[in-house]
Amino acid sequence: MFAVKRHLDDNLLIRRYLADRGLAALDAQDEAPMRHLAHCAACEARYQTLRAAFEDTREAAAADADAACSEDRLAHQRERIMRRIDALQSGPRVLPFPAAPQHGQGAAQPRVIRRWVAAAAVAGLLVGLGAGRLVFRSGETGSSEVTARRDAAPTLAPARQAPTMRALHVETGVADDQFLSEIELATAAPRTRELRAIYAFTLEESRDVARPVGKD
Amino acid sequence: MPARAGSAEHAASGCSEAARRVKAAVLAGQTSEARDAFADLVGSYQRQAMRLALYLLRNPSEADEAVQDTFVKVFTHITSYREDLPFEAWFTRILANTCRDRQKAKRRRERWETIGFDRPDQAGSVADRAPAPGLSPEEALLGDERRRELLGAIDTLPRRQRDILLLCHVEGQSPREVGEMTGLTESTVRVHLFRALRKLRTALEAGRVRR
Repeated sequence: MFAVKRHLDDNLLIRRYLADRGLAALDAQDEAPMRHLAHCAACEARYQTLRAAFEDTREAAAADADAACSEDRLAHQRERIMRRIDALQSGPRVLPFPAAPQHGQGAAQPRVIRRWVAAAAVAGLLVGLGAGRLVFRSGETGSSEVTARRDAAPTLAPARQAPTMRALHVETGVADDQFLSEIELATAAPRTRELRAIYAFTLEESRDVARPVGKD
Repeated sequence: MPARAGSAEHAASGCSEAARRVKAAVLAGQTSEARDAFADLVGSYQRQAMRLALYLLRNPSEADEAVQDTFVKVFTHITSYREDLPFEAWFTRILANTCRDRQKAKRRRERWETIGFDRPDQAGSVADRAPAPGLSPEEALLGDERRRELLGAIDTLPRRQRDILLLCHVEGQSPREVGEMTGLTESTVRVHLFRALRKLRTALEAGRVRR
């Protein structure tokens, strides 16, 4: 019989302890060892020692945890939790940027400056418009004097006018001979007074010089 | 232990009721009522939550942060709480996940930290605390010595076995509850618990022989 033959090993004692604590269930094959435990003083003593050691460990760990859960710590923790909950309920907050000027005198000053800048720009525009108008009028009078002088001048201008595309276009109805002669005249004659001297030195001179040489 | 279990059950039922009130107030848009009900919930379950977090994290500061985060998560997701289930199971699952995330983050941090600094979880150990009232200095010293040995024996266990031992053996959670918390099956929790006790027994024996 088991109870007579041998003592229980530690595994069986641990299983018994777990069963006593409600953390495990003993099965059918454990019945005989448990009967032995009930009758064997040595095994019972060993079991009690093991049980006491486990209970001491449990109490030590529980005391360690309790020491860390002081009322003070829990109160602080509770306070922080509720503060975080309040922050959740109130939604996100916009923090003012530290360097940004506050509303008041600091903010009013740039606004006044902006107004002055706008007023100066408008005034400058008006002055510019007025001055422009004055200059334009004086220009008109100057140009009328020029046209009057031009009208009074002898009619040499048509021959000296540079041919333009517009002129060519307008004169499409003119006879080909007249058109060609106008071109020749235009290319032969210097268009500006300042260039006449150069023209005289170059084209006219060369033509004059070349002619005798060519004829020779 | 039965007293602890009984008070835990009472707290659990109270927590479920408080959680229902918070949920109803949040759904109704009554923010001040929700806040008050949640304050009750925090007050009634905070200590147990802190103990669980301590067992899982072994560091009071980390446990403190984890409990705070867990309560904030619970409030944020209170509308998804199923009232037909006990609040405790829902809460402890969130707490366990939060603790696990913190452990992972801590391990990542420790990889980059220089070895040799004082570990924060060893600060404020039992030896540094004031002796319990009513004990002579000698008794207090011996008691602290013994307690340190016992806690040292627990520390020799592998992490998973240690967590399960603390949750089942010390905190009085059932293997099913611990399984829900840790994501293990109930039978696996039982196996780990058995092995943890066997190793603890060996460690305690070794300590007694050394003495």
